[in-house]
Amino acid sequence: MSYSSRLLEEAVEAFSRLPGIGKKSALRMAMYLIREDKSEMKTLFVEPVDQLISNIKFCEKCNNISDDDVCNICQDREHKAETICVVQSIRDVMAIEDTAQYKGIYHVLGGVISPLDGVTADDLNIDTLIERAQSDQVKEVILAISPTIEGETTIFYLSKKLKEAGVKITQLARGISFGGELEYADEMTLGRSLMTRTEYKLSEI
Amino acid sequence: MAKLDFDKKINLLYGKNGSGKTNLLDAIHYMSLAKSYFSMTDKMLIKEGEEYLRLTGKIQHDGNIQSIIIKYPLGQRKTIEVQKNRLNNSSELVGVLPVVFIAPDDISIVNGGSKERRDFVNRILCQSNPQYLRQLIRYNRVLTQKSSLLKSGKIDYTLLDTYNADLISTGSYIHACRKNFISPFIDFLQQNYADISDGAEQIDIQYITQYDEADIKNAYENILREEVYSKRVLIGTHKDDFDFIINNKRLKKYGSQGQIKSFLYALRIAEYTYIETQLGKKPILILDDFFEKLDRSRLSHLIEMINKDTFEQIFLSDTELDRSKTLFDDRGIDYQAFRVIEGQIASD
Ligand SMILES: [Zn+2]
Repeated sequence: MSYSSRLLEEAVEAFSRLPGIGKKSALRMAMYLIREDKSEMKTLFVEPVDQLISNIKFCEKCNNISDDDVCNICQDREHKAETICVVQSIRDVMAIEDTAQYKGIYHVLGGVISPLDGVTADDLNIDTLIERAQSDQVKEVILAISPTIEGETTIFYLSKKLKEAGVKITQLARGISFGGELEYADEMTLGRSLMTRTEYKLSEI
Repeated sequence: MAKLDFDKKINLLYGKNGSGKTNLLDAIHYMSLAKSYFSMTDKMLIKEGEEYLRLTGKIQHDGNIQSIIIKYPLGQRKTIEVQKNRLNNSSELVGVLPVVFIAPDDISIVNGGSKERRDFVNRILCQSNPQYLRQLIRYNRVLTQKSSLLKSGKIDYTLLDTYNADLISTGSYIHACRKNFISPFIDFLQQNYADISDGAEQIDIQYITQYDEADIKNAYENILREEVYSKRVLIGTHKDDFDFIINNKRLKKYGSQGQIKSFLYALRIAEYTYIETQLGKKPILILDDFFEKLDRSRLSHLIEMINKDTFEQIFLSDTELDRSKTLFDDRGIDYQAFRVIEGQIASD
């Protein structure tokens, strides 16, 4: 593509960096922004993006994405929640919230253990989870982690680490592909597997 | 692009060395196990300048037709469809079309390192038992993770225990399968060997393993510190080996060329019989460069087995048509010949 404007070209470059956006879509997006009402465009697009980048936080309790130091879910539910649902990513929190079946709190690990990809237990939010699970109020920890080989390693690892906390450890009912792809699981299936979760038994070696 | 109808019994592919016969045979292997026999990567299988690998096959068996489609666009994920159903994992293809591939460089099974023999046994067991394949994939994956952890030097005993628990569970299954495999397999092997030799030699296979079921947990625990110190995995079924024995001595060291060749041939026919017995269906037999490779006694054994309907569909390759033609015509064996020139194949 040849551009008559360097400003336009730079904007197209920037948009095409976004996931799933090719050069053609990026050009359409950039052209849309070039309107007469400049202030409206700034209010609609520039400000939210600037706010997002400048002010977004990660909840200091659960590591969920948040506007404040502590996220909405933790603020509303932590004082009475008996259940922590452990997930790999923030998108998993959103998927489970969409089912409207779960009323407890979350804990976002930030991935699964995989030394092959340079991810050891220290790289995940595991210590904070152990701490939270030790609170008297918490009765159950749901390990809603995908049953891949690395996911199962992480589940086994966490259940060992959580043993001292004396909580009940549960797992989602088998049969749905989870974590990362969880947002693609339909709400019904996800909700059902959450409700029919089973206790995780640690087989000692 | 080539589309071919093969004979349900004997298919003879002939053409000069380098004409592409082996590639065609390897394509059949690929349809069976979703990978090349010659341990080439998928990328290496794509012709230079091309961006796509596509293999389609229709298998007719007992009046049923099954279609297999394998697609691999360069740099993307390989997809496999059986009867238009997309498989989640290429390992699910294994067993649909079992195959035994005999290639000229098979000698590495005897002369090569322990990996060659483990691969040989794994290929048989994976085709005979889907559960073995799944456990083996899991074992290898967890082993790689444990190995990466040890190499990183970040010592996390809870994680090492987690990996060890997994490796003990999958490893025990793999070990049990190998143990159960060896005795019936040796029976087939000895029978085949006796048929092609004068019958004087005693042959055997010994399963070499550090794996002791009764004490495996202790063994893993006892070696853990040494593993951490050396930053390497020091225990597991991935270190198993199989010793080939002739007259109570190691074949590798003491066998004559003739004995080694007879052993190899007997080994591959035993592979065929074992898979057939386990699956209850006959694998496809592929013999690359068979005339060059088999001497008279082995060749006549093969013919005898063909006459006894031991095999179902066979693919053979030879550099020239005449000698194979004479061999089959003299014995009244039907076959279909295909000419291969510069990677192009046509039926005669
Ligand atoms: Zn939170």
